[in-house]
Amino acid sequence: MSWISRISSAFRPAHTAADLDDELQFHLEQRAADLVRQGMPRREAELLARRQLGNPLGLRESSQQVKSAAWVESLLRDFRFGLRMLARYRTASFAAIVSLALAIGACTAAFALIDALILRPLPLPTPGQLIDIAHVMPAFFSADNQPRASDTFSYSLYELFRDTVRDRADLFAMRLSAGLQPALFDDSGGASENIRAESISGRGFEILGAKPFLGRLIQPADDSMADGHPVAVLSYAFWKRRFGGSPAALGRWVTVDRRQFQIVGIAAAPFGGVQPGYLTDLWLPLSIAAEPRQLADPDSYGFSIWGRLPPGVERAQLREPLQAVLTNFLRERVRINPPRNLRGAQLQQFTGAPLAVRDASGGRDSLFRQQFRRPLWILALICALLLLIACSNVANLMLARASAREAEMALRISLGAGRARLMQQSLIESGQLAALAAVLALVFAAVVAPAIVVRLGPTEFPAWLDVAAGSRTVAFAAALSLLTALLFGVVPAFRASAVSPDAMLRAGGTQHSARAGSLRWMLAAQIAFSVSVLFLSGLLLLSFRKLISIDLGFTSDNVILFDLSPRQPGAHRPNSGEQLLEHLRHLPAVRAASISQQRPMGGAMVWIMTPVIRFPGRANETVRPVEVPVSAGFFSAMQIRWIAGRDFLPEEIAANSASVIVNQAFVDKFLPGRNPIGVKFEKLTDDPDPVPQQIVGVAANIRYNNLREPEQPSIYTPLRDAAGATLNIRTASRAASLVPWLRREIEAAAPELTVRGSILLGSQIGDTMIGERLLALLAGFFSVVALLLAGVGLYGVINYAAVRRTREIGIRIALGARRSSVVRLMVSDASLPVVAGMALGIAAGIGMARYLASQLFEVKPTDFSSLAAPVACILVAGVAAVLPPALRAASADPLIALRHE
Amino acid sequence: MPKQDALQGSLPLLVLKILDRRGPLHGYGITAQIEAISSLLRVEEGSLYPALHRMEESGWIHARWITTENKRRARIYEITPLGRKQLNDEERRWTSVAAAIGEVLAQA
Repeated sequence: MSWISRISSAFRPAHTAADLDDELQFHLEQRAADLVRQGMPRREAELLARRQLGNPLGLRESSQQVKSAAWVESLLRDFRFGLRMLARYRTASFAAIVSLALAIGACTAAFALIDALILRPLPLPTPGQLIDIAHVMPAFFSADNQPRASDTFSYSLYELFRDTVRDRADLFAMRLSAGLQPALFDDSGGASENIRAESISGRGFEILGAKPFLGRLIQPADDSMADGHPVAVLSYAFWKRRFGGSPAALGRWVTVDRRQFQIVGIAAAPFGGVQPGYLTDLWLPLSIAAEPRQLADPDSYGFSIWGRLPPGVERAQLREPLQAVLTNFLRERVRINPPRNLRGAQLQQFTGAPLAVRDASGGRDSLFRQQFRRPLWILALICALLLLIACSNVANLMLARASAREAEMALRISLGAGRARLMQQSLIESGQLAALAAVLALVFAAVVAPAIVVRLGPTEFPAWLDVAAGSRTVAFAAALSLLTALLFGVVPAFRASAVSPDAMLRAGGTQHSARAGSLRWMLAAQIAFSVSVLFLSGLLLLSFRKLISIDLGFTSDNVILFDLSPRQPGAHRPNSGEQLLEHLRHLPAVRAASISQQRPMGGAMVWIMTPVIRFPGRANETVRPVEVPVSAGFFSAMQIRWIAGRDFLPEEIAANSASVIVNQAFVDKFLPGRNPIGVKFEKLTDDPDPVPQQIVGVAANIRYNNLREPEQPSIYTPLRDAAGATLNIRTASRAASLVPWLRREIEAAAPELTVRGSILLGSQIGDTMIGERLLALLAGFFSVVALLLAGVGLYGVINYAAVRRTREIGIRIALGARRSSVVRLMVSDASLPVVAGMALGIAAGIGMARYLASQLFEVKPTDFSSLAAPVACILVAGVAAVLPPALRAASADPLIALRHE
Repeated sequence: MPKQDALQGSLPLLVLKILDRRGPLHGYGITAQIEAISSLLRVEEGSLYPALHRMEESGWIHARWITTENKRRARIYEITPLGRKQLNDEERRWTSVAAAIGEVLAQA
């Protein structure tokens, strides 16, 4: 008999048993008939036959052992028994399953997000072979004075690299996009859409291993400056969204950057670009999409270099030849075009920048991924703690149930059941709980993970993460629930099997010293987990509250931001936009209008200028102020407090004026105790001649770029060109509803400009705190769940302990104990684990809070307020849990309690 | 009568031989056949059925249900090719062991 038939016969033991009986019965009849034929009386013959055959029950048992794998059958029996137990303790089972499902579901959702953004390799064949090339820029290149890996190169360097390692690896170039750009599809009736368009070398798709879903991908013949083809390939997800999956998309034309491309293919899902978190909507051939100037200029960086190693070639083998090429190239560039601000050792550092050949299987780190890596791991940490709470909760529940069933266990042991068998049964019950919870958890995660993804992206750039329950997510949930089952099942299983039958059966079920001990530990652990969750969540919530209640220095209500672009970049003449502003200021609903070079609250998406400055008679300043070009009227439009001096005059904007306005931080930093008005300084740029500047006004500090950065010394310079800048319009009311109308007004008043995008300043501010807001939201949710779980757990355990002590308390009262002392006894009994758990939880919380530090804003883990809240919450939950049973026990009639025996 | 233990190892051999020679038989039939041939050997009936089921498990014999002339359900066993091979091996082993033992007994 095969394994299958063994197992299948285990599923229907009744059938097999009947067959066996039948067979043995036949034997008996035959033997008896023979004996009768030999002359024995029938009755005697039947008896003899039976005696000869032996004990039919034993016979059956030993045959059955052969016929069905015995352990399969015992498993099945335990499985059925477990289900009966779950049904019998319906409320407890329900509570256990729901709390486990919530915790496992939260963990699974966190895993799905982390997997999609960080862990999962690109959905391409053998992603482990993919590489990209980076070099480390020396510290003095960045404003924060940190060395930084740069992963873009010039096109000439790409060609040199590619040719150098031609016989060892295939390299190709891409221009990846961090933002969106307007594109005009020929079926849209003239309305442009913001999409993420990237360009790629002709061999790029082939080397990546991407496949077309429809039509074809970009090929080497397309990618030629001289006779390439202006073609475009859509990503599958974009095609589904934009064209509803219609094959008619093929052959359509799209205008990107004033050039037309014909759509020739759809890349097969799930590939959607090499930057996890971002969906590439459209790919174009590199040498046609890029400006010829960019391709030709050896100093124009911006091309990412990727490649694929053939099997057997190591990344290290490419590093040395590529490093030589890079160093030679940089030396040559420095010789031809010496940088003015670098000399000596700095120059050496620049030309000797180390090159790295990196594993690119996980895709390129997008801004998005950098921003969310830490918050997602924090989320995972909180989820894991939540899971531990749920586990200890369920373990408590199982322990309590195990002691309720001690009599049953004792009976089974004395009837000869093995301890291993009892443990098996107890573990199976845990496994059933966990399995049911895992199923619910997957449903929970399938709902929650996409809902979180929607909240991850800024309003303008929706995040794109594939968090659909794939095999990895399901495997994770399954593994986690198995682990969970062991975690909460092992202690009760040991306890169940460690029952001493004679003591149990004799004492009628009231020995509880050992059990009270393990219960107490579980309780302390549970409180520790809950306190740390509440503590960490509290930090995140407090920090978020600080962040949103911060004084911005300007008012954001009813301000709309419009990004302006020149309609025809080639023919564009710089224009201060003064006429446009004049026109807008006279519109009925508009209160004020101004222009600024950088979008306020642009966060990481905005390029910030930080020039080096020098005051006459002083050395170059080591701290670099931030330069913010703005139009006249910016301060009044943004409602920024004015401290001294005056605003720009219109003629200062029009002429190339030397007037600047600085902020209070600038004065505090560079000119403490002096009257800043009229002070002159120089701005040093790449240009050899310093630009003289004179301070004409001082404005209050504002948070310009994001909420977190403290006020930096800033220089406001007159803004000379409206194109490429942001128009800030303050309306009287209902800003959102005025956007389309204002857009038309702007484009009518300034026909040389086009509005690239618009956003309310309020949403723009919100977008800079997406990570914090998400964490705060989830932290709030999780702390409620943690509190709920902890409360239920506390109540369950303490109540259980009280019920078990009913008899003891009855005796005490009968012997004259006062009711108040009984209450005190029970409260002090519960307070030890509560206090111990709290201390542990706070210690662990402070330890883990260091990991959160980068996400916290003006909140310290050791602040009293951040500690007080979780402690108070747990205390309240503890008191609520212990008092009712204590009072009930104390007010119990001693006679009833004793008669209970 | 030899102790049943001595027979334990050889019961499958006898069953296979009987089934090979006499064709499909039910459990009682096998007992009856062995007893008819040898007045010395008596099959311990209690060990016959577990042995049959183990042999079935090993694939040496195959069982099926039939209905006898007097409308009684009976389970009959028949030898399989694998069982025939087993019979061959067992028989060879048995005769060589028996011969060896005989030799020792004769010459000791």
